[in-house]
Amino acid sequence: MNRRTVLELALGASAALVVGVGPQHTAHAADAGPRLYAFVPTGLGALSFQKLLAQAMPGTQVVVFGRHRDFDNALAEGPDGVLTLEPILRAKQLRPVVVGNNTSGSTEKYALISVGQAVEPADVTSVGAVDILGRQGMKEFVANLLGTSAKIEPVTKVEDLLPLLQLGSVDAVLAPERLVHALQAKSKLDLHTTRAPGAVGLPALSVMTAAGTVLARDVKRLGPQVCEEMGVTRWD
Amino acid sequence: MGLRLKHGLVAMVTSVALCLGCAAKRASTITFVPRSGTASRSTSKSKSADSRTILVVMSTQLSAERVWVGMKGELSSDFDLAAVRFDDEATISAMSDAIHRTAPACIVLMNNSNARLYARYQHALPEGTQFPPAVIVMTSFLQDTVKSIKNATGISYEVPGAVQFVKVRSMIDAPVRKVGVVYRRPFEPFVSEQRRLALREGIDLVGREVSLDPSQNEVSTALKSLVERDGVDALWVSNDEALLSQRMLSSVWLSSSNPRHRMPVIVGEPNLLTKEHPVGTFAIMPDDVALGIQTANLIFDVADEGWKIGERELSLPISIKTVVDADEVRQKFVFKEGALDGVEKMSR
Repeated sequence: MNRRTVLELALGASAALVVGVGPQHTAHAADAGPRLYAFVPTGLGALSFQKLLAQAMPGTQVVVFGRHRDFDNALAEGPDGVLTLEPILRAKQLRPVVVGNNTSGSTEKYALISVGQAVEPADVTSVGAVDILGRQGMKEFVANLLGTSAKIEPVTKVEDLLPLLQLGSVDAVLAPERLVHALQAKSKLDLHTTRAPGAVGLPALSVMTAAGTVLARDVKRLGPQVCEEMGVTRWD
Repeated sequence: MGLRLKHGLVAMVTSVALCLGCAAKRASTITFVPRSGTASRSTSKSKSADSRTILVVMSTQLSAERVWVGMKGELSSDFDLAAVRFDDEATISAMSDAIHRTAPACIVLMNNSNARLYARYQHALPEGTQFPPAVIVMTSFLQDTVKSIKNATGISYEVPGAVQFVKVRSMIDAPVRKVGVVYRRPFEPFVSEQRRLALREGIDLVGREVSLDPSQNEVSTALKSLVERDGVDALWVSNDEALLSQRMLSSVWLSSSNPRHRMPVIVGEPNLLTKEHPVGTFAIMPDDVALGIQTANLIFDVADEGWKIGERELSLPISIKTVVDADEVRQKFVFKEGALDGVEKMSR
């Protein structure tokens, strides 16, 4: 096996870890605490967010998913709880037991970010967004958020929204307003923002087994750093 | 008229040869992934396919497998999938066999060799033959390749320079305002387009053109001009095989006289960061799994439009993977906070 092959295998293994199909995903010792599956797009990479969340929840087997499809498939494994955005829980018909809040309630505002000039939501014909609900689900999600239908360019992570603007692939991209500053700091494009008419439910916890009931307490005790990554200031 | 008759006869003979080839050679193994479930089966038997089959013609490389993983996850609930793995020695009859056995609504071609093979397959068939839409990925400089294939579109394999430069700029506490690139003459349109995109991000891409078959001295001189005369802050190494031959690597890129050591050097392959080939400081390439997902979305779009390619422009890869030798980079630059988040780290 040559050096390149070793490196490629390493990269592949690392990618598997990010999407939650690596070794930590299969090691489910009965005494290792409840399993929490989380899918919350943040400004961090999935692996970094997993480290942060796992450190904040010792005694819990935390698996963070970087992509909607992997999270969707893994739900069939029956985790003890899931932590994800409220629209995803709703689409899966899962009941939230702990709901994230910010200073204005349990939803957050999104911005339409465009290059050159601000766009009117009703005039947007193509929009980039992180895929949280799959092809059909995203059509409804974006239509609810913008009040109009637009062609969606789905991406797998927040970081990939900027290339859509750099390459002129879309009229605008959708992101939580709290992430706009980070995007502007990274780019020298002439970026403009417009508030989207709708709002998106913040992350919430759904408990799926009896063993998962302790997760409600643990999520409510999460520290400010990990909460901030999710746009949450308080859990109810 | 005579010429047309001659072409017709050649096409007819070729078609017969293709059919005979199908029968004579051992059929390639096709992996079928049924639409509804995750169960897959490998078979070499014929399959009666319907119009919802996507045929994926791929190589056996790990990167192709990762693209296949991303694509399969998105498409398998809506389409029947069939994957066939060809090496560089695959024949037109093997391609023909795979197509006949799957009757695909759409064909995905991964890698240069499979795109070339499919082009030869098309050219071997009579004028006027209708072909299903083809989506080409993982192919170098696709804008040229796609011209030789009918009813085709795809996603370029070159990560746009602007995306790469901004990534590096976001990682290190050093200016990335002027980036230099050495390129061969045929790549001038590509470099021009990259320059336009980079300017939007406030980055000046300076190119030094070399001839079609440049000498080592020519490339070396161009490189020195970029650094010493143009004063670039960073270098971008084009994924052009002619500029990265073993000869060029040893006598230009790895030569002690190469002035690259003082600045970030962006390459498109992680093996150009290794101890044996320490050409670059950052390797930036498409994220293969995300590329598979992007390919799947492109196929959904083509399907929504009645399997028509039309005047669709080629897409660009959106999601990138970055590899750095963090220890090496730390010796020369200061990383910004969070710079290594989501970045693959390797050590020489």
